[in-house]
Amino acid sequence: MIQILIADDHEVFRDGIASIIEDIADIEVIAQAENGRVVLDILQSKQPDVILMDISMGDAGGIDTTILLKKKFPKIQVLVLSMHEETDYIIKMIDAGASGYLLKDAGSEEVIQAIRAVANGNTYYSQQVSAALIQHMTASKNKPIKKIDAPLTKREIEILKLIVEENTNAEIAALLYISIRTVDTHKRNLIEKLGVKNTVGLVKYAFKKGIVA
Amino acid sequence: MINSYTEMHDFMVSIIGNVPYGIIVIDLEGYITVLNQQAHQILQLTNTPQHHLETNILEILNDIVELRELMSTCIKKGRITFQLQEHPVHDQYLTITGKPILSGFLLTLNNVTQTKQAQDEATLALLNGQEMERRRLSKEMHDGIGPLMSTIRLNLDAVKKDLKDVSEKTKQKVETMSDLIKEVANDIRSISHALMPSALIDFGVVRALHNLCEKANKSELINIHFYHAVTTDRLPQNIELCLYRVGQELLSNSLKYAQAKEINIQLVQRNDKIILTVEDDGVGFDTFINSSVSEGIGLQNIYTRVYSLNGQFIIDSQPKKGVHSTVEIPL
Repeated sequence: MIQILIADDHEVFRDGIASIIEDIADIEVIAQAENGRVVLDILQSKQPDVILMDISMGDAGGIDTTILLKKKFPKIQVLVLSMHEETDYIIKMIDAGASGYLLKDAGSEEVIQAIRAVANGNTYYSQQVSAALIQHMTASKNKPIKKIDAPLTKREIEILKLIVEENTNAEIAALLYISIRTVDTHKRNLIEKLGVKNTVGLVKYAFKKGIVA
Repeated sequence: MINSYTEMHDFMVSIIGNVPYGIIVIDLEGYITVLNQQAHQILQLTNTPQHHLETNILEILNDIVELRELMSTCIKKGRITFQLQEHPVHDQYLTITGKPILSGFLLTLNNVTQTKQAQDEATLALLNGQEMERRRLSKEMHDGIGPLMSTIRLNLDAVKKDLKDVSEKTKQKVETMSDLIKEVANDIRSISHALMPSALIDFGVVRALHNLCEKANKSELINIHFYHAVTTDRLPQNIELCLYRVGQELLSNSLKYAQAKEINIQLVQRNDKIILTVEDDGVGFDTFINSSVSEGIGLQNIYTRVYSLNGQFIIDSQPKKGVHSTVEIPL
């Protein structure tokens, strides 16, 4: 028998889940909680196998609660059931120790399948969640790690070339039909992006990287 | 009755000296022939008005870059009519008009600081109210209606199981209902997100802008790059909201009007400042002639948001040269 705790700030939703699980022979709801504080209170007296965990539950939300409970009860599996589809939430919850993540529009069969999976020590991510995770992983691979690797925009390269050619801000502004203040912002952005100290550093960088011959 | 040249002259001088705005007249080479007390005061010139007669206009406009550029164009390339609306000069807002007149050029400087401040305050109050309302609605949809829809679907799922002895047609109908509920739930989620992304509140402006670009990248054929160098984990809430809304507005303008191939959004923090730049390589517009474009398309709201945080907003564009917007906000 898999014992579960439902943590969600909406009573109707908790009841909805509970009523579905009622018909399932191998799963039993042993408690409900409307926020993370109540979850931790309940765990003092009884520990379920799986917690169905919402993320947004007022000030005692799912992320912090999962971190806290995983420290004390590492064997309890956390299955997230949330409205949040953004990767930030998914990753925060996985980091916190959740072993599954479902969006709230999951059908009842998927919820049950996921409960069984995490109870058996496996992970379960719905299709949408997996897709988001994969996209995040491929995107972060391409992400610049060091400042110096940050890609320069076309406009920045244009400005860098004109700086190397010893044009003043005013001259660059006139050549590119932009205001002097914009040129200055671009210049300072370049300095920041490339991690150099001043215009001389920019010129050195441009030569080193072959931006100018 | 004005009978003589002297009387006419005195009459004109007295008008010029008493109008409620600054007047400067220059000749074709840019030398000042008239400069009234009001212009002198608005431009915060140090010497007496008389002292500036016969000097070149460009010499007194060193710290008003845009106007100086315009005047320099007028002198070198030919006179044009222009208007700079609510232009920030020395802690004031000036509406400056330039107009060719007989063998010269007439500049009028109108101090609109008070009107502008009143307008800004009203707009800001409106924007703040809108944000509060958006946040409330978004939360209610996301945390209230959303879960309710999910609950309805769950219950319907439970009902489905009991429908063993009903016709295929009924089963089909229940299936359709379940699909529709899912669709509504999705719509609610995306509307709630558009109103106020929860990632902005929970994870900050960098993540929220990142998500915004990622989402646009998925649905649009344009390449959107987001680069950031923000050293502080979270910025003050009002600054984050401002940067997000401004980024959102500028991105949506570029997507809607620019026909761009590439859009670059950058958020760079320097000790005391945060700088947002949005650039596209699209069709652009003429900020010089067409100040009505830069006044429209939501840009006025950007000005108001940015100025309310003591920041600066510059938009640069030329036909076929794309649009380059820069926002600087002091931290």
